[in-house]
Amino acid sequence: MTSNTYSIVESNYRASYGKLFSALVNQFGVNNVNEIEDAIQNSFLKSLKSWNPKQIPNNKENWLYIVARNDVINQIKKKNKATSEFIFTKTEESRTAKNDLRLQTILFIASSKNISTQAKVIFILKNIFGLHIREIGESTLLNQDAIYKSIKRAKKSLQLEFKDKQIDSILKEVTQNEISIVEEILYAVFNIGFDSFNEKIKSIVNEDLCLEALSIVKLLFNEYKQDSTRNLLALFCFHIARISAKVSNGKLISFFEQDKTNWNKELIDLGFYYLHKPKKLDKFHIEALIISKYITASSYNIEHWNDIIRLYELLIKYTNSPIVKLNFCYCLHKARRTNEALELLENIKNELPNEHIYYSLVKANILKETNPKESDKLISSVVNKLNHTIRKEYLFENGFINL
Amino acid sequence: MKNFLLLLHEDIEKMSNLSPKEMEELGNSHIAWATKLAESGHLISGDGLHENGVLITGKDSIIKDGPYLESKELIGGYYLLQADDIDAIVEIAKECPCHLWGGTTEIRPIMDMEEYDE
Repeated sequence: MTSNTYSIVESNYRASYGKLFSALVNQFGVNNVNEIEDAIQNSFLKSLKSWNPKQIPNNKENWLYIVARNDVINQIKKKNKATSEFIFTKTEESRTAKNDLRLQTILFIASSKNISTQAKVIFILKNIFGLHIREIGESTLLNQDAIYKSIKRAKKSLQLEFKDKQIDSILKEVTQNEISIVEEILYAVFNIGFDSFNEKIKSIVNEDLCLEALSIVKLLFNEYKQDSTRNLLALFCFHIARISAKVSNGKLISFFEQDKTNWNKELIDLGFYYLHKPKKLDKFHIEALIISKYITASSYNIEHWNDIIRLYELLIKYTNSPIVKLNFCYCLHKARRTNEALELLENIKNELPNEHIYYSLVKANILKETNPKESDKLISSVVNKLNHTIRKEYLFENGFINL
Repeated sequence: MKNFLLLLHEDIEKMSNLSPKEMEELGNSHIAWATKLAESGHLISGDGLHENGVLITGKDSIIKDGPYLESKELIGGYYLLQADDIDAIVEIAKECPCHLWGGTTEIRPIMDMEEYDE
């Protein structure tokens, strides 16, 4: 036997999970969503057993699909023996894992009137982006029990709302509103990936999650050609372009100290290609503009910060996000408008949970010169709560803490 | 060269709690490990095992169908390996990907009757 007897086919289980889930939910309907989840899990576990070089399937995704589909059919047969209920399955054999139905499935979930956006995001993280409940917890700082319950409720709501309906009949008419919800969901998924607290990956970015979100936004844009989607693509490109410079030798590098030659030039160019002034202004466009200004700035002087502040003043009209306001505070401080920043900080306080990590860090940074004692106190409270080593080290090494 | 059977006892609970990405990594580790053993000449054969099996006991051949979930662990696969002595196999088995997620490996030297002739 030599190493040439087989070749590992490039595979990505996380994307495969979403493709399989979408294909099977399209085929068997939301009534069988529990069976589908179990079947995919089982097919993945079975695939672990094929380590014998002579037995590795050539097209793993298709193999997984067939194994999972047969598993669902068996489960439905068993269930029907007990209840003698009529089963609904599509007979079209063309529905294999080859057709990527992830976007359709996200649109379908987005169209639900009974599920909150946060619950939609969690459901999609699990079933389209293939994250385990544990990983969703690690990436979002949400409690695992709460995530589990949210997914369970979302499944029940979907089953009640769309019982016995075919997904493509629900999706005949996609409204602007549904596209906006999908954009919001993908934006949330991307941000969760871009700012991961997952201790295991020893990074602050879950890169493959960001890339999968990008690929689905691209599908959304190709399909519906919306200005807002185009600008969301630009925003993702600008962010992903900097991932390789964010961590160096296992250490976090702040934006201003990043080696710009490590930025991905092609992705930045692609970002500018997609950046496009929309007929109706939207938050993705303004956010993309802000990041493009940071990327192209030759120096971060008062003028730069005042330009950024003008964009933030605009952005705040399009979003209620307290995080955006926190970023705005930081810029005000940088433009030597510290009093305004502190005033705004007081207003944001009630919009965030107590001792919010990012809030504390921004406040500590702003107070560093005028009130170092208070600043140190805030930082120690953050360090005590933070389990993420790479972030802790950053705080220690950048003099945020006087030991 | 002596032959050894390496049994993989998997922690069922941990295994069924893996994320897609973790499963992918584990699967790739097994393939890489099996390939390495094939290249070094230690691998004779090896496969994963279905969890559904049949137990037959006693003179009356009483049949019991699996899986046997009363135990926390299940034999999830085996490798048939060859090496000069058990120490060499222990060194090899330490790297078995089975250990990554709470699994235990068991090495059983295969009886060779010629050993007892001398």
